[in-house]
Amino acid sequence: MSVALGVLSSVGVGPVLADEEADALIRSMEDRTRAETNTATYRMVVTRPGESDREVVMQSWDDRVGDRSFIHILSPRRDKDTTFLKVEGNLWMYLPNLERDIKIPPAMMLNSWMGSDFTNDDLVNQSSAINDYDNTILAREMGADGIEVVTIQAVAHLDAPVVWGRVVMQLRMDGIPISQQFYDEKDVLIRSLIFSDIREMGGRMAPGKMEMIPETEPGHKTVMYIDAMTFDEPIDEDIFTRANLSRRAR
Amino acid sequence: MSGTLFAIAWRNVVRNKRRSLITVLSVAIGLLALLFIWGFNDGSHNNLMANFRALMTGSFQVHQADFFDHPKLETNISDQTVLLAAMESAGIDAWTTRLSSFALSAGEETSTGMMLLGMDPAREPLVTTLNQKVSVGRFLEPGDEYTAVIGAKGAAKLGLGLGDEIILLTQDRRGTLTADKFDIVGLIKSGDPIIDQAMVMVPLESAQELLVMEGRITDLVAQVPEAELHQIAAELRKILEPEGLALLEWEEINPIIRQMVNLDNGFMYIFIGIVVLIVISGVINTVLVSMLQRTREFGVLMAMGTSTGAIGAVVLIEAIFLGLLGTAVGTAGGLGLVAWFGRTGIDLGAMMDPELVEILGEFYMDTIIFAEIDTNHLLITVLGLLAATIVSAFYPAWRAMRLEPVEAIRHV
Amino acid sequence: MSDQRAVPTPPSKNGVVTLSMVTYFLLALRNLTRNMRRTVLTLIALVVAIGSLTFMLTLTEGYLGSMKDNFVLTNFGHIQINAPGFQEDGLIDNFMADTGAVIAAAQADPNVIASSQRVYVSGLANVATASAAITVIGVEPEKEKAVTRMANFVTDGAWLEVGDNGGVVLGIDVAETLEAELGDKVVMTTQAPGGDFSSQVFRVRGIIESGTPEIDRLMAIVTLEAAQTWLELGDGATTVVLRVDNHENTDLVYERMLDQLDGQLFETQRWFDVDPFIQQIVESSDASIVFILAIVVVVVLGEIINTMFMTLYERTREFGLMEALGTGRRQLFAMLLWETTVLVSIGGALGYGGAAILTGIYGKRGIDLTAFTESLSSLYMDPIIHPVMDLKITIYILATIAITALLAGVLPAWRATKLNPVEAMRQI
Repeated sequence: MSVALGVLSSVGVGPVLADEEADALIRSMEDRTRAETNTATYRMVVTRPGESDREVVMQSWDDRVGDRSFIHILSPRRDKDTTFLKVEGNLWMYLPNLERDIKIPPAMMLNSWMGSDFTNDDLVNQSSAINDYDNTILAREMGADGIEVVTIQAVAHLDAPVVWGRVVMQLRMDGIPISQQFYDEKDVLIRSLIFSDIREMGGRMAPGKMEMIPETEPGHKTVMYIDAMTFDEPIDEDIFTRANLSRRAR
Repeated sequence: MSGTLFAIAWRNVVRNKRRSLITVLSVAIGLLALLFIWGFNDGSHNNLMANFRALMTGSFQVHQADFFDHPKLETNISDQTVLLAAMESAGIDAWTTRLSSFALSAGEETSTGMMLLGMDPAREPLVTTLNQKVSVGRFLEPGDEYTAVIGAKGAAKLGLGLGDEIILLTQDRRGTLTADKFDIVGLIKSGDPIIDQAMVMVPLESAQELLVMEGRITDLVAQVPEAELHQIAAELRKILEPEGLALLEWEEINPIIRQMVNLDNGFMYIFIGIVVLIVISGVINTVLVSMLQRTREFGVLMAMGTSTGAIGAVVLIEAIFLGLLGTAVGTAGGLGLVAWFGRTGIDLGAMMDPELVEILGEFYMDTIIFAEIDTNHLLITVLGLLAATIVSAFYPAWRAMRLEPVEAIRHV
Repeated sequence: MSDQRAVPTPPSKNGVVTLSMVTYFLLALRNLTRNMRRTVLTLIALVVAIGSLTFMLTLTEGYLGSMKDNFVLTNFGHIQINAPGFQEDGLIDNFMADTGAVIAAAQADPNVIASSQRVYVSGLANVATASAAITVIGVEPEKEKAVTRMANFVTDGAWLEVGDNGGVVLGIDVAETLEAELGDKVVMTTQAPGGDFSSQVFRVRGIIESGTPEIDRLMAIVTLEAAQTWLELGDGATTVVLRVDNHENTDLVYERMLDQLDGQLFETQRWFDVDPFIQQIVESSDASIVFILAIVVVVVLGEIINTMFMTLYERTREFGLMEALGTGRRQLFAMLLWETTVLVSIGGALGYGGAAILTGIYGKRGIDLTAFTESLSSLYMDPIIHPVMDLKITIYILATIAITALLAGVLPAWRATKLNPVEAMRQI
């Protein structure tokens, strides 16, 4: 599963009523950036004031359609071979020094994932991609390289289990995302996500760098670099099993 | 003239040994009983509070400002130089450092949330009595790595025992979920439900490593004599507050104990009131009777020209003498009792059934109480009773003044 | 002789003399009234002692009772019924699918005032900028009000209305951690039985501040219906809470529930089985009462025994005379003992009566101690105490009176019998 790209899909498709073109655009963004399945290698850099940057390298397997994902941490040494499995609405974690896996209860999923500015909710993706937002197109402009850029506003449904009030996203007509702004219900900008380094990966053009900036915490930032990615290649069923959690450590 | 009145009053007192003795005893017994109860009361309260401080909380604690209200690993004391220097200059030796956080403890099947405490095995026994509450196994020792001491009830809940491994899942300083295995080397039975059910203690260094808190602590805990606490605290605060460190005395950390003590003392004051009332009526009784027995004598005196004022004054002064004597005897006797029981101790265990003894344990009370009395309690009681006896003297004195000489002489 | 008062001559039968109880009683009364002033003064000491002691006991009973009430009625209720093991592990998997039998038993029980169902599950509350671990409690908004006072502790906003399945009332510390205000949305995540994570959004309807950490630091209160739907429990619940008509009947109802409910399906517990803290305070208070009574007896004795001895000396001549006229030692002893007993009993009765009246008056009004106490909320105490009279107190006081009478009377009476009649008569 793609952690950050999970973010994208959590701000997903709204009901057809809202704005069909907006929905279609978002759907195309999802397809392009996550496809039905994907595997990837990420490098995450967490910046905190007063401390040196921390880098985490991980491999991930994402079954978007089946709502399953597996992550294997490769570095730093302290976290090496820690693995996460999300399947059937449960989250499992394995630590090599423990030699066993633990089911993570909701109470332990306090907001930040691996100490970054991405949240556990982004990871577990509980807020369903479907039916949670009304999407409308706010603006269109011509971008630098001749591709039209659309600004879409996604307003959360009142009864949707999402913490945001609305999300504003800028994306290209070809589905490549440029940036997203997350507002809480009182319309305070809480965080911004910026995509860049658009290049070819796994046979398609997609952003290679995602920057999450929490607007309420000065000096905090997390950058996710996609080192490699493949799309829609079949993933072995064995990957999404508890047994796989410890296998990776060997 | 007043000198003579005193002399007369004194002679009357001495002349009637039996009557005087009875009155003096009235007061003395009441005061003695009260002082004895205070001795028990204060003794058990001080015992309770001392045990509470000694078990875990300490006399005071120092944290990074705001840590107590919003406990977060980020709010830690990274540089302890100033803090430790302050301890040394204040001459405090009994201090230790801790790392406190929250963890999910997992056994085979179940897991439960617990307080995670990283403790310095060498220094902790200098400050608290936790190491004495180990019921099975041992406490943390210097050199231990990834060992754990856990409350016995908590262990039972998780289905774990001595020698088993316990998994602690927690968030490190950066927010990453992390976990590790710890070997259970000891089980604790302290009587405090939180310690026994929801606490796990590990070596400080292991906790620091697990939580990415190397070189950092969240608490400093120290013990100082209770009588000096406020002063020490005030002085230390002056040094620590500018450094962003907050000092909290034990009462601020857990106010419930002090509230219980205050409640008890409140009822004690009511009880004193009762006893004072009893003593007043007793004194009025005896002084009045003794006065009435001398009606004839007063009558003669008045016939010879003594003013009613003088008669009244004599009765009053007599009563005051007796009151003072009674107070003196009562205080001496009461303090003597307190001192004796202060040394010997009152064994509650012998008087109470075992269930209640266990309850006492949960209340931080030992079964043997050494009597003590707080100075202000002593003063209030003694002065209160003295005032009461003086007040009681007024009625008989007033009655004496209203005697008619002729009728009085005729009185048998 | 100048003494005009007649000395009664005891009737004798074959040399064995007995006097009836009535005679002794009347004798006592007359002897007591001979010296009204002294009798009255001693009575006053007794009335004050017994009266204030009684009142102190009723005050204590009152505040202990209110402590129990506060504890029981704030959150727990008198009795809770769960699926076996739930009280221990708190796992939602361990819920009661069908609470029908429990509800029926509760409603049929004459001592159960009200019952309500709850669902407890632990979870996480999220807002955009913060998260907090919580215990979600699904309650029946109206029924809960009949069982506990939880609803009264809502300080901001309002308690939940029936049917408001999207509303939540947050403990004040939870709300502070989340920086959540009335009307804000909170996304709560829990695990349903079987383990699936499930999130729901709720809006803050109220903030609750009870002074107890279980509520303030952890609670997120939603409607039972909302919890049941969210966690797919159907009509099930984790807990049924019972309120009993008064504390004394708790054990009674407990036994009945144990009888009627299948132990395999339902586990019944009394409030003090789960948290004995308050019960322990009550019990240790009871234990110290005996101690207090003993001290009061000692003090009272200290006061009135003087009077007794004074009487003794004054009536030495009279006793001597009586014995010379044939009164046996035993009768003399009995007579004096009766005097003391009657005196102490009257004083005690008046004291008790006075205290009972005071208890009646202040029992309703309550005594406001706010001036003397700072916060006592962690002890579940109100600053206003209502004294309460109790059978137990009456028995204690009676016992105290009896013991005092005996102790005060025996020594002087015995001394009196030691008098040599001839010498006694020579006394002036």
